Amino acid sequence: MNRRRYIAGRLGQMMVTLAVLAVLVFYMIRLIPGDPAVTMLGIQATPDAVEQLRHQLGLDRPVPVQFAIFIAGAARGDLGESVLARVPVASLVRQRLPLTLFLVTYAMVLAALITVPLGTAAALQRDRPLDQAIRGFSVFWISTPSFWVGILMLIAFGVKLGLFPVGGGGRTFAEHVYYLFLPALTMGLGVSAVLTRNLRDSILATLTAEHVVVARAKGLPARRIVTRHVLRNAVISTVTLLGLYIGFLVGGSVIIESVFALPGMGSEMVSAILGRDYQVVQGFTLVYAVLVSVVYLLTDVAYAFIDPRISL
Amino acid sequence: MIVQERAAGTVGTRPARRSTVRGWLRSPSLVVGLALVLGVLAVAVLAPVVAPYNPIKQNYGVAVQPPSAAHLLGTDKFGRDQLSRILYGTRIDLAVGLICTFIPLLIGVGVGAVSGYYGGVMDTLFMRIIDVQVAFPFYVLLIAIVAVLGPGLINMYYALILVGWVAFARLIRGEILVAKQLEYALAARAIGCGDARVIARHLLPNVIGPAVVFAMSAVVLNILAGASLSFLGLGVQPPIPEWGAMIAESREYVMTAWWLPAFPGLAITVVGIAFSLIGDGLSGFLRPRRS
Repeated sequence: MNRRRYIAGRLGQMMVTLAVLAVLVFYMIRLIPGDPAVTMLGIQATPDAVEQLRHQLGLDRPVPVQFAIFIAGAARGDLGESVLARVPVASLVRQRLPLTLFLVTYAMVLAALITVPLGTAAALQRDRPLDQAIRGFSVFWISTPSFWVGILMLIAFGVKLGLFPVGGGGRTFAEHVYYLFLPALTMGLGVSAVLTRNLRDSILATLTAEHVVVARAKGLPARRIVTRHVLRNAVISTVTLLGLYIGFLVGGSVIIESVFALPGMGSEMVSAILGRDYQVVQGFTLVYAVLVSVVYLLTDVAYAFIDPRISL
Repeated sequence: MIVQERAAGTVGTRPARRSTVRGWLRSPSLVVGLALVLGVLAVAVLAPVVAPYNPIKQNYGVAVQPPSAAHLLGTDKFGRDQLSRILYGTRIDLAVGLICTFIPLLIGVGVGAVSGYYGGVMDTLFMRIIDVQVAFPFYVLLIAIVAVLGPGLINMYYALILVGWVAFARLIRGEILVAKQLEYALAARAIGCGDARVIARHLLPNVIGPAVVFAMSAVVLNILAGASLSFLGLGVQPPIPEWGAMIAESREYVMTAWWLPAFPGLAITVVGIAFSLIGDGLSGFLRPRRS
């Protein structure tokens, strides 16, 4: 019962957030200094063309009407039309969203695969050289720009060694895994730097917990204590942190897609901004925000099931 | 956002501070980080003195040359000396990192303290702002703001400040929520201190620590974000020497001239590590002492 009430409350909260989001994104185009239609078309545009675009964007109507049209459209999945590409923004989203989702998921998987062994090793070797080295690894990856690492990886493993393709995302699942390895690794390393440190501290805290002391007193082998009694508990806080980093990963994908010339949402959004194609920027911003809100909601709901204390 | 609320409240377990100079010196991270930051600051101030060439003067006779005695870090496609550009770039990147952290820190501490101390309508409003901002991926929000304002250095500042204060406010709010229930805060109120005095003289000095540590990560994050936006062509515009923009300009040469992307990125990393180390060292003073 409590759980249901919690989820309902969380859902309501998300609805409020989405409503505010919609207003903000709606005002994006309208906040552009000057006449957005002139900005989009350039100063040389004929008055007719400007007038036509204003009409197409609905800017010649009263603001409440514009908002109603925007919301009604968004609810139907209609996000307007790209001024440059002359195609519906929604179809651009459909084309490009899958690759971005794949990339972000892939990066999370790689981040987890890097974090668990490193964090565990650092904790068990606390203050010894291996711990110091892993700590150095964390500081380095937190402090270095992902787009730079991406370019260096591209030069080293793509161009010089020829191990990986230097552009494109592939078509099949296997090709995705191969083509997106370097970009996903670039993103995953950055996140794992933060997560490794967290997992290390979390394991150290768990090692002194009573149930671990009991397991030790029972004479269980060390390996079994670590995998069954320590890691399972310690990893919860790390997974929480990973959830919080989803937004950061999704945002980071915008930059990494541009570096690796991947046909995802991010690279399209950047070229839309440089081309002043604000309909695309607006639509994509909304999609990104809704996407992340939904992921956060699902994370919180999942926690309500995993950890009964949350919904109490 | 349950998760963040839980992450925020860490007051109460704080140990007695060991903030003697000797204690500071015992943290190698802090010493190395501070030394690096001082060095970088010196470079920023002294750029005109230490840079061997004019950073924006073009000289096509020596375009795209590898590192040599005349040009220690090589030259770019316009024949500009890369070392000089990187040295001058320190001014831009460091300023972005510091200004876009300091102003949000001030705003965030103010909003967070008032919001956490008084609660009520203002607090509710503030929590909704957090919810909305958290829904935007960090870089998507930055890019969207720059898209509205238009690319450029000043607008990049606005975007980073507009985005940055919320994290500080959330952190301080969480700390204040816990600290205002503690005995020393109740005692201060009991002897008749006004709200402003309780907040400024009693609560803030006790809860500011995590915000200062977080500020170091924020400097790193802002430098990386500024460089990333400039790399995408949305921040600093040519010919201003900025590290991210330099890496972007080098993209057509990455196959042939490795030094063009390598060194500006290294500069970002060094400055980033410097502030990360300071943050790492400072956080050691906040954590309970190991038994």
